[in-house]
Amino acid sequence: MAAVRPEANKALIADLVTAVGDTAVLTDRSALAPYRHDASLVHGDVPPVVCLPSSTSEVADCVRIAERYDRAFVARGAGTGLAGGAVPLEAPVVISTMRMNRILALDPGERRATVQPGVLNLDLDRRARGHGLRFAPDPSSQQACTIGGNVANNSGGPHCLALGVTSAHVLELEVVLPDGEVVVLGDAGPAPVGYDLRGAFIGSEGTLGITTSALVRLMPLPTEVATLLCTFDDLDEAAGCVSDVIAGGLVPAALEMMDGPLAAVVEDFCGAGYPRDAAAVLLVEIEGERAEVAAGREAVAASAAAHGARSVRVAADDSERDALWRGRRNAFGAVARIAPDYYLHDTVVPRNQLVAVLREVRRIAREAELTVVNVFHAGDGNLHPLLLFDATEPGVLERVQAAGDRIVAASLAAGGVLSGEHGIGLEKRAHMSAMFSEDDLEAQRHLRCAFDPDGRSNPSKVLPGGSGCGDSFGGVPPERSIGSAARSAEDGLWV
Amino acid sequence: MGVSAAVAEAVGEFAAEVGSEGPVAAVGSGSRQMLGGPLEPGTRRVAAPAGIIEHHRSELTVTVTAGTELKDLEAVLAEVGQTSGLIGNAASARTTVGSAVATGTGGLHTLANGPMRDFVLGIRAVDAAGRAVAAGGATVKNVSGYDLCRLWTGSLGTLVLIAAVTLRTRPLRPVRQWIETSADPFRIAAEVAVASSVLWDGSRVWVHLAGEAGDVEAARTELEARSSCEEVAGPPRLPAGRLGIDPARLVDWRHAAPLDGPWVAEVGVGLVHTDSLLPPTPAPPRVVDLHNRIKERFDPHCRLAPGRSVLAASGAVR
Repeated sequence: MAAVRPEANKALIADLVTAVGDTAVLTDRSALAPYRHDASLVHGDVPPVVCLPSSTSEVADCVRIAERYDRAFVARGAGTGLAGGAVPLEAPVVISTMRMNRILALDPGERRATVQPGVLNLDLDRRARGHGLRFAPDPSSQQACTIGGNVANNSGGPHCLALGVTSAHVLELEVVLPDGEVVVLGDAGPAPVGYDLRGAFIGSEGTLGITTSALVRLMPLPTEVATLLCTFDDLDEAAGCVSDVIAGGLVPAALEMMDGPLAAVVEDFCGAGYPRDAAAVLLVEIEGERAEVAAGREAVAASAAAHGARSVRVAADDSERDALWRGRRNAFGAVARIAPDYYLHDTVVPRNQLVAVLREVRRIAREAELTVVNVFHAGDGNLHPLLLFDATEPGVLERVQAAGDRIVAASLAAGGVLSGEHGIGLEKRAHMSAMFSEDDLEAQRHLRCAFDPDGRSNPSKVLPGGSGCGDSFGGVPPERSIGSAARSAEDGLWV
Repeated sequence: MGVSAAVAEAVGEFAAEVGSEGPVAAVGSGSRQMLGGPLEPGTRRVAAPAGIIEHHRSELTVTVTAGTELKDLEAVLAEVGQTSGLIGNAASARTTVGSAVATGTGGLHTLANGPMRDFVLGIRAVDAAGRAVAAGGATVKNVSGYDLCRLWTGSLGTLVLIAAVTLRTRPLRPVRQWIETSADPFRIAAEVAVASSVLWDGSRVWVHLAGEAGDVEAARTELEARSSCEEVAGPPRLPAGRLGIDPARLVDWRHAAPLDGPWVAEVGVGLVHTDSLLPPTPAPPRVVDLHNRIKERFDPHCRLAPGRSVLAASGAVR
């Protein structure tokens, strides 16, 4: 797409103001600047305009207006994405769903809720807990991230090990298609007629349309919960314990691992009760009925002992449990104490490859002269290495990027996949060809093009080489590496 | 999706058999061939490769060729205390894994396990051009690109022909028993955590309890305190057809079921097993349009299962 002349925006903006009102259209450069990036290190362009519609019909209006002016559009929730999925490219209309933040209905008897896309994950969960229920997906960003973003990224979280990621908790979606039409995908029943368009839409990173409402499942809170902290002097033994627990037929509600150096930093940061001198800690949560939890606790303790655990501590009460989780949830914040910047990775490997891949990650970091710490969803093999760096150091971004690429390659070589919960966005687009053949990618492109033949919805994301539907958008996607992450003053204090 | 040489070879042979020309459809045991309407005459039937079962026990995953019978898969998993979650709902004793995935038919324990679409981690298939294509991966968690596994699951072989799948497996619970009870099926489904299946035919109620011995015992004690409760050999015989209903609406069937013939419903799930299927509610035009566009992209010459339409597949009660 050719560069957009500023005067070309005037009529576009005027139409958007007519559609959603002037308080719901941002055009001031300082107001637009934060929309240039999400929570990843991949930055795009400052968009010409951001709309904040309040209803499905306003979203549809924004999409239609974008089409009328031959513009792309990019849906955006809270901007907590970690793969550049909501980063604007090609002067799009950014459509923020943050004002659509109402829980429209919550039916405790049927255990489901109808929510607008801008509802925060934690707000929904808190509301559900008032009825003895919960919304299971619990990404680390759950205080800030939205349900619309969870749908777009098929988000996970520690408690998705036993309960499943977002797709398992969404029954029905109302979406605005890239041509502005509104459709409902899926239904409240167990076997909607036709293709599973609901399932195909979830995780499509905003490239098939915009979620404007979701009917979600809520799960009953368990009868019993046991939370264990297992401490190891050897990282490999901790990883071995993870494999043994799963192989033994136990699927804990959560099975998280943190390496020793990070555990120490976390302990200094928030006093979670973690050891400062261990090689690794495992945070294990077992939920269910009374006997089930008792048996699970035994099984974990036995497996930890077999792997030479230094200690196994069972949280005695809710406050101790909360403290243990506080450490896990504050891990990323704690990292700021030891490095000004970090690059958080996200790959998945078969659980029996955890030890080998963790070793490889450490080797890669050493060779790149970078510090790496690990906190991750060990139970499902979902690695999250954090490469620590100082962005003011000349040349460091290239080293970080190269090390990240090697971590992805090592994960794939071990039989793993590119992403467990962050998605592809811009960050991993170039890696798609390493996991999928051209024919595989063409199959994915079929879905993209069936929904969005003009490639108008969040162009240039997910698939390498653009959407490739013979369209005007995303034909030759600009390469974005984290090298573009150098923050400019206009980004201000956005965090 | 990394697979072994044996699976890759079997998929390759299947691709060669499917070829790139002429109408073709995959057939398993044949028990669900009529779903979505009859195939056009002259459609060549091909059978997906059978018999390769690669169980990754410590991963709780299994890769299996689509022509493999469910009972053979289940036997391999059961040896080490796991299950596919797909058994118990088979249209015939010889129902294949490919049939279960292509029709989106899960087992009888959706109440506990969730729908079968959540079990399918990876699919190896043959596309309309006769090429092997892969979706998903071998790991239990994966958001690498579009979720074609969910699109293909339940697509009745109209988009691709499924050759092999990687499924999530589950540990079998230590104690498992079917009981027949006079208790309220809706209360059981809502309140009894160890109930993995609650079946109701309008008068009789069958419940599958699965869990640790102590938990199953506690649930039985509670049920027996307020109702009759008797262990039975298994679930009732289920009619072969299925339709889906919003589980919240099933309670209305206490007064009058909208079906002519016998039915057995999975309470809390909304699946109804019946042979008196209702015509499907017509989908909105824009949804039909999306279906057509997807079909055209995947199968531009309409050679996969011609005559069959997913939108005509089953009667959903809305």
